[in-house]
Amino acid sequence: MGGMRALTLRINGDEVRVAAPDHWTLLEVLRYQLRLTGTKQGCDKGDCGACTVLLDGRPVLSCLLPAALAEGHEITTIEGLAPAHRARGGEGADPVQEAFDRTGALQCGFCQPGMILSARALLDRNPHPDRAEIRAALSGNLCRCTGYEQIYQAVELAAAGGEGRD
Amino acid sequence: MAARDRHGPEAPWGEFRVVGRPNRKVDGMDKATGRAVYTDDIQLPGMLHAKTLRSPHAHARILRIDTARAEAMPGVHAVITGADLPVTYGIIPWTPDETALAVDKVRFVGDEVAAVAAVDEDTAIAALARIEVEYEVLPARLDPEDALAHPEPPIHENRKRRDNVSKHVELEFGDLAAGFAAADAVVEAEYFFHGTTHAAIEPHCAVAQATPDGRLTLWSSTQITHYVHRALAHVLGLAPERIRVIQPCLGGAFGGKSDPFSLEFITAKLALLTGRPVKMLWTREEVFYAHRGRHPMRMRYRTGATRDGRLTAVDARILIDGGAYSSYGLVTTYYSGQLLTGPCHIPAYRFDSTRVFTNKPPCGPKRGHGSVQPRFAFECQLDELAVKLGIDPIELRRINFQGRDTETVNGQRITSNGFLACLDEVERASGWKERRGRLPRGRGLGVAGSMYISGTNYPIYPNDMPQAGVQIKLDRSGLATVFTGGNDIGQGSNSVTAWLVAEELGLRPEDVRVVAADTDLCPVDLGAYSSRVTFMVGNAAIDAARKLRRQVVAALAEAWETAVDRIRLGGGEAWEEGSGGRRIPLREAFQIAEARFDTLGATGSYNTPELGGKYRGGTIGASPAYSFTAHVVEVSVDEETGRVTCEKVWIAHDCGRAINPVLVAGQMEGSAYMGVAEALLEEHDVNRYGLHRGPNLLDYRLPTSVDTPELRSLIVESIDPEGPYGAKEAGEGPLHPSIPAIANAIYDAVGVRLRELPFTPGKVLAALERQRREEEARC
Amino acid sequence: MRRFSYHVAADAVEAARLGAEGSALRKAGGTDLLDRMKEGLERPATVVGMHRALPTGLRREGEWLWIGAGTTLAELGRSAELRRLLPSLAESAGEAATPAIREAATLGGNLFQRPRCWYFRSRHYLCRKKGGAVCWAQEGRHEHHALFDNDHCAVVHPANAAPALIAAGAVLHLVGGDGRRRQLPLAEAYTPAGDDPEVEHRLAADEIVVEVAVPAAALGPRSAHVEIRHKQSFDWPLAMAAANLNGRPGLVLGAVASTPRPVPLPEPPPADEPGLREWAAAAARRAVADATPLPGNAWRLRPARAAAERALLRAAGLAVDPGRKEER
Repeated sequence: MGGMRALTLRINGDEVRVAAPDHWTLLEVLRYQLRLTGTKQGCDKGDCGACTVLLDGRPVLSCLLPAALAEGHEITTIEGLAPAHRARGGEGADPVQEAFDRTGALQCGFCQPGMILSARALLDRNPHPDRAEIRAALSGNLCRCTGYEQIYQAVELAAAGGEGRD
Repeated sequence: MAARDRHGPEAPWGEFRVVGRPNRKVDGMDKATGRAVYTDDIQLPGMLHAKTLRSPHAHARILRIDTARAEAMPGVHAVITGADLPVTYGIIPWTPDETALAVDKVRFVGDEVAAVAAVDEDTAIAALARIEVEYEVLPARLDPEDALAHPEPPIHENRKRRDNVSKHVELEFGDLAAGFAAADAVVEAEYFFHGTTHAAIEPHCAVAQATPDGRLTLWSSTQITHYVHRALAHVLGLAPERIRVIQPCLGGAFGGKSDPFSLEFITAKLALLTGRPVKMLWTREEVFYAHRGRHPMRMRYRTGATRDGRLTAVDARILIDGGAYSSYGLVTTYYSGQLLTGPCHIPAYRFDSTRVFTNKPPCGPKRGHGSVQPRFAFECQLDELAVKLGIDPIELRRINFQGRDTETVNGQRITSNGFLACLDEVERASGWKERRGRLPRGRGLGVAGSMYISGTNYPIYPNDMPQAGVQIKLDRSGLATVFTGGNDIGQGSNSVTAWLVAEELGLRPEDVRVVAADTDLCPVDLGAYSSRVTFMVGNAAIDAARKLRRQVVAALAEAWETAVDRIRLGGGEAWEEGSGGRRIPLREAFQIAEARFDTLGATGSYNTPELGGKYRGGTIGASPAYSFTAHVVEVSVDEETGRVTCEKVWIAHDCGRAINPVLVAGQMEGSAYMGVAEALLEEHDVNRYGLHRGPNLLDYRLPTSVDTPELRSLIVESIDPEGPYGAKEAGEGPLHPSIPAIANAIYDAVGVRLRELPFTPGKVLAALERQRREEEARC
Repeated sequence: MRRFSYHVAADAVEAARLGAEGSALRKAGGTDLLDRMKEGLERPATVVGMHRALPTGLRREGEWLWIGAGTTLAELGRSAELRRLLPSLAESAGEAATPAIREAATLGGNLFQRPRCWYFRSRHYLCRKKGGAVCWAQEGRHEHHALFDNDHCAVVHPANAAPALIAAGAVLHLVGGDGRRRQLPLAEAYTPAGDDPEVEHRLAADEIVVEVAVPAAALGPRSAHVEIRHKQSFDWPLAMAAANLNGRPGLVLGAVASTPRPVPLPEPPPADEPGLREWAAAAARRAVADATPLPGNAWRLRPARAAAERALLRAAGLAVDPGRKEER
């Protein structure tokens, strides 16, 4: 019982082949096999949102997703944002990442990869969200440091095209 | 040493170029892109994974442990028990009552019993199930009254006293009897502050590696690298110079990573035994057992005042639920009384605090250590007095303001004090004067104030060495590298250190690198606790940088044949004041200085001046500078569901000087958020079986974005004479007033006094029901 | 988590069949199953993935609105069509758990997730729900447990989507492992904990729900879901209620008993606003009148009543004043 499975995953634009035990989640494959350690484990039970990644642009919890289920989907981790932004001709990191850095939203930084990806998914669907929409979209990502205020400012700054504070 | 060589709060040349600006953090982009390396991100070749077997009993004697079946499992490399790590330790040198693994007894559900190192986590977990432990179950004491009433068998048997009392402190200042005799109004009530925990999103993790020649390296998610270093040497019996402790990037702490923890000793021991790197990552459930969170306190307060609102006396009696071990409990017990004596002047004051052991996860320091609970009780007392005397609650606090450059009744020196400005700010911003008393029923405003330490002169273990040290290397490339033992736990202390050095040396912030919290490389700092890092490491950094500045300036003055007071460094350049003065990149200035003085490097340090009252315990809580805070909160109460919504918090905080206003605001908002959460949502407790009521982040309610009120920070700068450029703490003080301000706002909204935290819908509905019955009885 | 093998079912019949074999368990979104597996409550040798086997999305056909059991809660919450036809379901799905969980969790999984009782969910307790002899909640902490039907096992059914669907008279379409098909009204699908606490529903071991059908009479703007929680996101509800006034009036309470709890509405709703408000208040009082709360959760009757009243008012298009002072 409990075999290994060869998986073909599309991660951050690359096709990656790995062999992983059937019972491994996408989080375990990302962190411990592919060493994409930007995706964090905070509770391992779907309660904190630190392991959020994007699956076809939608935020999902990688700790509750058997790795095999991620096959056939486009997976984006925090490591993929800045290179994708550069590939589109942008400078620096993704505007959401830049904005989080500018507004002080990054204190310990542990929840922020998940938070930033949730924010990215929101802005991709709704480029100019209001405060209530931002709060709703981030309501599954626990942050213990900021009280969220500077996170909202970051999302608003990114939505405004990076103008503002700094 | 810096304290003896005070440098004053002013900018080096009159105008700040780095300080006070919203600079980006030195590690911000690493964190934003996922590049920052936290402890669990470390994977070493051949690394084993360790897991801990934990007690299912709240109190039991261990009669026998048999690890043979676990050791025989394929993939298992080592199994250890208390017999392998029998040396006791504890963060406070006078109360070493912990062992990494239980030696004779277990004292709470979750106490550590044995540990396994195996090829992977799955194998280690399977091996735990094969360890046989025979227990003699003892009666469990789950609340402090019960533990005092039934002390046999005591939770700790090797102490002189067998009464389950962990620490008792009784101190009296001024004439209490005369104070109450002079009072026109006295309020008295009992308050209960529940247990809460830190719940940093990063679980504790440690990785240990030992070399065949006997050198040990430990990476750990700790906020006290130096104390972990000392504790490892002590417990493992190794010379400290063979041990290196490194704190990687840390995913939040809030006091929850400021004890030496079992996993640090266990991974080290297993690495020494197996010769392979060993990692242990705690599950979220294990983090709840490690706890060290806020102590539950049952508090009886009596407060007297004259009819014009002047306080005459405060009398407090506090029963503290300590959990199973001492941790910082000695300090907690003092803090429960010692930190109340500002910003209001209290002419006569007594507190009688008793910390009691119980069979629960051990309590310790959580943000606002020891003083958040009494502050809740006292600020509610002030509100009750204000009502009784018919004085506006903000005005009552103004009347009792202690002033600056003064001394508290318990002998603490107060320097800068911006509390009045804090009150003015929250009064103005919240529209207090226009709105209070005019809101519809169900909506209310409440106010509270507080003070907190910026570190203390109590260095945990007695010594005459500096509390903080910094070393700087100036490079001929134009780069400064700062080595500091300070622990950046997300509050941004590495960035603050870089900015202070940049300000002193005229560097651009991005041209300073910080190497921190590595005991092989960095001078000692005592760690990130007691809100000491900005103040102490900051002063040490300025001390070191100023020495280098003098060298660079002297070398340039000599080279340019001008006076030293005409040389300026700033923005990555050096120049001579006046028309026709020369101007060069700082890189070249450093090269001139290096040619003149040889390789450029300097150390700096900080120690507190002599502080504190001349009585036993008088130095505990004695800080070189105190921060002050005032909050106004607005709540709404749904009388059908019992739900209290905290709508908005106005936070005014006197941080001395804001080295970076964005970071200060972040600390203020994060603190207020955490206070609101403790008031309304969070509760850490065990049930009557001694089992945690819900050791996960669903049952333990952390506020999400939709649960957190709007937070408005109002920074007050009082410019402290001894702080680094006048700065004081910002990370803990702003938590305190949230909780009593909410209680006071609920009273304003619906007229009920809630004195038992947290303010859950059930408690609110019960209080409203009592109110209804009382009103009906009156009719 | 224990090792297991993973099998992706090709169609509904295979999913139904394989899920009944040996120690296999089925998963759709997996958000509940993986949580239980990580706690060590479930140790299946095989997990059968149903994501390719279940229909997704909404369709109108005949006199029914059909909803695929594999539709995610996020899709339901986002659907403008559902907001128009059955706002109560869109609201309950759109506010369940957290945004990322809603992206994975399915309607079928929501309806048949296991209860959230903290004693049931902790491996440290053997309770009646796990074949033990004790309901720890009755003597222990039970502020979030059942207000009705709680003398044997005090769990509440957590399905957020169930009250809205039952209030609308929804019918489950089931497929068996041998290819058989049958229909079962959702109102009859749940079994009380008093019967057999280890089982929560009347589906056979080799049966899965593939679609949920809502009769056209219940569709329209006059439905609402109200969930009262201590914490606003991701918490146990203190109570929930769904009301549907499009056809035959329906009111169903959730999170108060081991099954969703329909409330009889003997009188039709009056047309005038004062009359409607009085009617709603009376119905809400009746909804909790025969409750048998435990010592530590009687206070939840008041929020449960508020949920019922507010759901009726909102379904009727009337404003709710949450700050209103309790009437004497």
